[in-house]
Amino acid sequence: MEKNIVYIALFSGLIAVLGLLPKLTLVSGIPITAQSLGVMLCGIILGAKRGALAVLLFLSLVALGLPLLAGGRGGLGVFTTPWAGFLFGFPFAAFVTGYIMERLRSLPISIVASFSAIIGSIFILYAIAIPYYMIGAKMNFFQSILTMSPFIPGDILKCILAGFIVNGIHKSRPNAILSWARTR
Amino acid sequence: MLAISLAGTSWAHNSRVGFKLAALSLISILIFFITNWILLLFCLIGIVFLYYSVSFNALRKGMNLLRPIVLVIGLIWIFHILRGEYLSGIIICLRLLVLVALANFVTLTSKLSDMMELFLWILNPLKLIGIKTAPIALALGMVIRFTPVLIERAKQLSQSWRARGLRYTNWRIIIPIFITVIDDADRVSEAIRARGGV
Repeated sequence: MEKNIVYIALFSGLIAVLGLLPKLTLVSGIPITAQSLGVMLCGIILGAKRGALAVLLFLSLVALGLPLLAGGRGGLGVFTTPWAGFLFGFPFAAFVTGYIMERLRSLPISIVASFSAIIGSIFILYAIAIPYYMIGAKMNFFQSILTMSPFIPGDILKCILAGFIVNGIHKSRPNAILSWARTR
Repeated sequence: MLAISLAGTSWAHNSRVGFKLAALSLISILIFFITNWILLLFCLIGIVFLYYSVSFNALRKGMNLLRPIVLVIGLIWIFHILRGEYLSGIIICLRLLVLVALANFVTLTSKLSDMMELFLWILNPLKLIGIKTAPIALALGMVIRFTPVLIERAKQLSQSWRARGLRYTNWRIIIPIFITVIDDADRVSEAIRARGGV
């Protein structure tokens, strides 16, 4: 119980830390931040429930007025833009990522992690963010995809990196991968 | 600790957070019924005065908070112009500006501790379905306390990384950041259990 709460709390702090890492600029010229990588890693390492709770905790604190989002953004205002679909999608993304992670234990961890991140944090996330954007900004499907497409290469890159990162963590702290822990 | 809100004693600071949030939700719904762009423009001008009634500093900070979304709104407007829907584009963009500016106003004029108190009060019904809210309060407090520590830790790690010769920190820095935080989490949970647990 205590361990779960502390892991959830500290991982939601980690999402904030990753948002502060220097931005990476892709070939396409679009800057990407590591914040959504934090959401993926929450799901991968903590598993479905704890991962989603860590993300919810993070979002609650953003709403309460802490500038924890990348670029020092925060407050209630960030939830009223048409892009907020990404924020509302984050807990679901972490949940699905963690859920797939919990189900696939026989394969190498980096492959499972990248795979679950692609399903949870790209497909599920965009399945929530795109309709939200379509309604919020009154755009049609193709216009929304067009607006978001510059970010997709970065997201795929993050999924691959998530695999390497989790592999590194698994090597030195195998017990910390709660999604793969035998005892609950 | 880092927080967006401005310290102050204006009327907006003194009114209750619950009241401000209720007003914000009500206005956010009503704003969708306004389909006249001139009226929305007046709303926006009204919000400028609202910020100014707190202080000039609040107006400036409010503008700063809006800056990142201006580009996004501009993009939405361009798409609408390309479709030939000038008027509906203007309406949507103005509505977005009003919504974001109002929500930011509530955040700017509300103390974090008051917001947290209200948040925990809103969570009270969870008790009815058997979820305790005390661990949630503990977790909220821990994030507020630990985030600056973790940020400092990440900075130290990347500094020592650079001291060892790598000029730029890359994604690999994330592994040691996570490992040190995992070790912290184990120690903190032991400490909490030693003090009687949750």
